[in-house]
Amino acid sequence: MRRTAALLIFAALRAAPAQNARIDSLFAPPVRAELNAVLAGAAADRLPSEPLVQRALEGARRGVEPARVVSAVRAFADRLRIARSALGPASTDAELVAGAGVLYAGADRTTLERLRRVEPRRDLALPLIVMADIIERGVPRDTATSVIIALGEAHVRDVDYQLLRQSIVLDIGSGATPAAAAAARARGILLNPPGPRPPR
Amino acid sequence: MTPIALARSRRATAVAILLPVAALPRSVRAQWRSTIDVGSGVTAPALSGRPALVGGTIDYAGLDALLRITSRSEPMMDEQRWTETRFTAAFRRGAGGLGAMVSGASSTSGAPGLATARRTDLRAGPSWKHGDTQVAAFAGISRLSGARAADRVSTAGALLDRALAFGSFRVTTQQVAFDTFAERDVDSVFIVAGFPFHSHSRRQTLVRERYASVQADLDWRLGRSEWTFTGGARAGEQLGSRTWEGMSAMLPLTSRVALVTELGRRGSIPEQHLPATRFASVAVRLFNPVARARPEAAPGVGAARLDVARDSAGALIIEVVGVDAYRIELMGDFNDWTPASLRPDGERRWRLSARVTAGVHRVLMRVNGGAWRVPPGVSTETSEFGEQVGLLLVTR
Repeated sequence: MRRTAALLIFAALRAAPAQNARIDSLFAPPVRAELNAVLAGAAADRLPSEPLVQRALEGARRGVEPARVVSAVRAFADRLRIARSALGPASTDAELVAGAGVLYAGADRTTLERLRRVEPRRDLALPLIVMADIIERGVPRDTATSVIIALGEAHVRDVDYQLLRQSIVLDIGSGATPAAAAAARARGILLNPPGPRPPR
Repeated sequence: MTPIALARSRRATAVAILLPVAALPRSVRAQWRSTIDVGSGVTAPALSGRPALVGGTIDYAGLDALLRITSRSEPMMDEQRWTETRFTAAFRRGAGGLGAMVSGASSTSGAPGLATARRTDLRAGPSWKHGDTQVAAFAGISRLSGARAADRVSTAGALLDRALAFGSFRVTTQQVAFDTFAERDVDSVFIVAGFPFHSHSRRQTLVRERYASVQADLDWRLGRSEWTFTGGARAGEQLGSRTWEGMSAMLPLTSRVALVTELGRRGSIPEQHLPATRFASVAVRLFNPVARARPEAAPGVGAARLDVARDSAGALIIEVVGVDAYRIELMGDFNDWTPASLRPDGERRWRLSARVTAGVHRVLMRVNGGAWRVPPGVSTETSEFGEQVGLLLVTR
């Protein structure tokens, strides 16, 4: 037991400098300090730190000014906190990142809470990614929320969410309004779910 | 053509090629490709002037637009040169949507019996593309003005082009009807009762002609080289030559230099008084760094997509399918946002083996050194930095 704890501490000590090293190589000391403070806060709240580091690296690689990178990483950490609180402490890192994306797209925390209520045991990463994607493509936020929650209530499969996204993209490309495309395609999946359902 | 005129025509060609690109911001220039051809050619009947050939293209190929500027100055016969600049713009919505094209051409040439000529074509029409099949119909008007000896010649006509393409095979039909109006000043002297009288009159003639032609082109790739074979035939009231044929080949020497050769027989252009000629030319083609990707195959068009799968050893394979390019790179949070080149794996198929953990990953793709974009077929999100990014969900 003591040995395991020692190993965990050793691994944590090794991991932390590795993340800092990537940030240290790209940012000046004042920015570095701010980013490390955000990372430390996230670690204290047991939020995944790697997505935060990657967001900082993305900003640096894209040539975004450092102050904007710090503010983006800080806001992302805040959204991860909200997602954790809405989706529950057992939620996976992928769910938290996807949930933060939905929040950034304009949905509120009650959407995440409702989706968790209707799908308590499912990995919600894919439904959340699809929700953010269709909002990005112009589906009104309320429509996107209703559609994804309706599919969640029907316990559709992952492939149905992928089908919904692809169909909406095609319909919009053919000239349909995003709202109409989302409503029609969701209705089609709910009325006639393709293929056999897996045993639950 | 005098050396001064030749130099002017070359300079005009170079300016037509380079000026529009130089005026663009650097970030926009990166999405354009351009080529410049410099070489030499011979014709039969024999060319007695300097047989230099100068040409070039500038392309912008986005997801929904194709803009092209082509300029070419090449030897004709009897010290004549043909210089042409063409602007083309095509827009489409979706892979199978409707599009429109407007093109204009302005050329100057000195054909036998026609010392100078200026021609302008305007075409517009819809096109439809689905997969490898493309159908287009363009209607247009054409105007030619020039002068020969003591004549002033004006030709105006109507064009109807139709094109059908299946992959690398294209058939184009063209119907042309034009009126040529020639005006000549005639001075004559006649004697009445021993006295000379001078008279001045203007003689006008109008000739109406029409013809139809069909041309087939086949593109063929052999190893690294690209070949195009062309054959055509014409029927109509005025026939300079009933058929024509030719071939061109491009052999890449490096990623930025290729050898281009053309050989064949051109048909006459009746409305422009240009006779049929045999020709052969060799040129060096210079590409800019974002060259040689076919604009029709821009990412996101057609069946292009990014897939992820695991190989038998459990490593993640990222595969990009349906993108015609010579270089594809990916960067994302799976590789610390460091660009990684994919390796070609068959026709329009690219692969990258990467260590990617399960979860949501953000990714961007770059084709031929162009702008970083969301890969085709993946979910999209606007990042906190105001730009779109692709999302990949990797499961265990």
